[in-house]
Amino acid sequence: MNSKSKKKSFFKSYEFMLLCVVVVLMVVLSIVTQGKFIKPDNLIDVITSYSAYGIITVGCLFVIISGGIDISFMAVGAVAQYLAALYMLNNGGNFVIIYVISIVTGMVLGFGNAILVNKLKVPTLIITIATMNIIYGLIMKLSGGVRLHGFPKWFSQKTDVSLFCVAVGTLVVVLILAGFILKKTKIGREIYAIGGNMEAAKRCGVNVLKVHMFVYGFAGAMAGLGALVKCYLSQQAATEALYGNEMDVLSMVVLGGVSLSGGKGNIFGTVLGIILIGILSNGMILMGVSSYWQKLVIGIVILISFCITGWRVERIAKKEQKGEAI
Amino acid sequence: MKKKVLALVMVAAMALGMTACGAKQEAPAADEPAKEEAAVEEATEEPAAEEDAAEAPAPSSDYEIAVVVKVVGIDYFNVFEDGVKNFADEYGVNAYVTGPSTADAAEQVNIINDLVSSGVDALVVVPNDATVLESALQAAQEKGVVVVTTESPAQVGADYDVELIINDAFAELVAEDAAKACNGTGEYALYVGGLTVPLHNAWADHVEEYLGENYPEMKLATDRIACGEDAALARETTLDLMKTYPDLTCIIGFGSQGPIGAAEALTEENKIGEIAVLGNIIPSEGSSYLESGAITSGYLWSPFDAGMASCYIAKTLLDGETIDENFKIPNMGDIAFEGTTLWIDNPIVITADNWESFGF
Repeated sequence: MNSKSKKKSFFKSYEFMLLCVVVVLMVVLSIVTQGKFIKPDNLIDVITSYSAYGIITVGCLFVIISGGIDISFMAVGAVAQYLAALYMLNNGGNFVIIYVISIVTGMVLGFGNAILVNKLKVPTLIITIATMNIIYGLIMKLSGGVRLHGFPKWFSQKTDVSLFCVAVGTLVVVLILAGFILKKTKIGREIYAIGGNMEAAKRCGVNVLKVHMFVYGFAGAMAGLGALVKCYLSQQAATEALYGNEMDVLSMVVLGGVSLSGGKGNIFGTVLGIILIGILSNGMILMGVSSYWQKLVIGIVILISFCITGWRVERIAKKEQKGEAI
Repeated sequence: MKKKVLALVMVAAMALGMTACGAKQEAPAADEPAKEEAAVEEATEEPAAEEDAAEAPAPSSDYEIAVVVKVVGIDYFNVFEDGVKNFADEYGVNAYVTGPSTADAAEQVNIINDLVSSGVDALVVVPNDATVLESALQAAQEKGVVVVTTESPAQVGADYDVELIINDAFAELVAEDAAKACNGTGEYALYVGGLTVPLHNAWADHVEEYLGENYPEMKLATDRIACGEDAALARETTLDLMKTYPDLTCIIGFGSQGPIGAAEALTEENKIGEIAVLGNIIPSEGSSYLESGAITSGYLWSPFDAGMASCYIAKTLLDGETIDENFKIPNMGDIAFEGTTLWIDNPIVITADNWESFGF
């Protein structure tokens, strides 16, 4: 009985509607591009290219669920990417070391955000705008804006397998880990709790500082990791390449159905958000849409998809209310 | 109370963080000369008088030429600075580079205002935004400061602007080499930094025109794509284009990251040699791709020469000499005049053999 009702609610959920939108879009794209879109190598390309932002999106999701918003992640990623790249250029190293460097760097900067968010009762948007500028300003000053390139062979010689493992592999591991944390752990539930109602959570004995440290640390670590994947894909550590793309990541999270006021959202929706943005921009080129039209088309598709989704979700909710009344 | 203090400290830190980048940059360069100049400024309130003083037999080493670049610290402007330093040594003037730490026009305005009030003789500016800088430059001119710009043709508020390439000739050079690289057949794609970047789009327009007239068998695959400033995006776009347009033989990228991303995609897909990649690159960034053949050749102008040329013009004006048809800059190509804009045909072609010689 219980599992049955769970299933039923899934079919009525926002995520299910989003899934339908994604599937319909994929079918349309496959037909219009005469099958080019649905070929496995294209799909792998899309996921590979969007894995970097996908990873960052997961970190961002945690922050938004906790009721905050973090826009410093690209600046944090830029620092982590730069340090990892610098280490590679000077000391060689291997994948394990550079993964650790970027995760730890991101985490430490994230902790900084967490402390500020926790101690100053100022909107997180303002705090992270400030830290974004400070962090980005520092890395610009320290790096001199120089792009790093010419990495060791183990990093620069990409094969199909390594490309898939580093990009898609990292994304999948991150998604599974994040899903596990949100659903199965105490800290996961606490994240939802402080996002839903901070005061209530506090009174229930949730250590808000601890949760903030975890959430912003995790977001920082993901930013570092995503930035590293982007560095792998483009074979370049460019501080300015990440900065300015905050909106792409935020839109992936929001399209995934989180509530900007916190306490709501899940990994499955976010995955769909990532896929939606990914296939839209890939599809534009495959369909041969002129670049002058692309933004317009993407905007319209997003708008239509979400009108339908929103309308249906609302209608189901209304029906249910009526049903209950009877 | 404790919290209030903490909040205050934080706000101060934030404000510092935001402004420090710009302010710190200029401080070391501008401070010392400022003191010397202050005396001159006080003595001569009339701008005309100051110019007279400059023309007087005083040794030219008294000239202070401040060069405000788009953003300090990046390779390109480091080489630009080398050109300025080289000029300073050669002609015995005090010329130095300053600028914001991010490519921000408003920050440039602040720096220009500070420099003018500190009493520089000449400003060389590489504007981040031509219109935003207009009034600051005009104010500088009113105070008798010589203003020279580069990379901003027909800049309002500048005595002269100097360009190190002639746009049409530059686009033709790239287009001709691209056509040769793919035997004048197949489809080609154009990358620009943004659909509204004037320079890139002027080149792209001319490339389309030139190839249409001279190589009718080359077809533009799709409208120009705005991925020229993001290597990862250019890589992704190139992968998508290769799947969509099997006849793609050539990619022309304006914006320094377009060819890099395209070359990375070709390397991944083992298609080096099948598709020619040409366009703007920073020599050192493109070096490995030039050597592997993923990038056929790169095109740019020399920032070293740009630094030299713009300072040379500033010094000429400070010397009280006029700039006319007979004006020449040592070791540089012919000059075409268009109002107050000087166009020098001085592009560099970057290949696997010569990339090291450029130093950036």
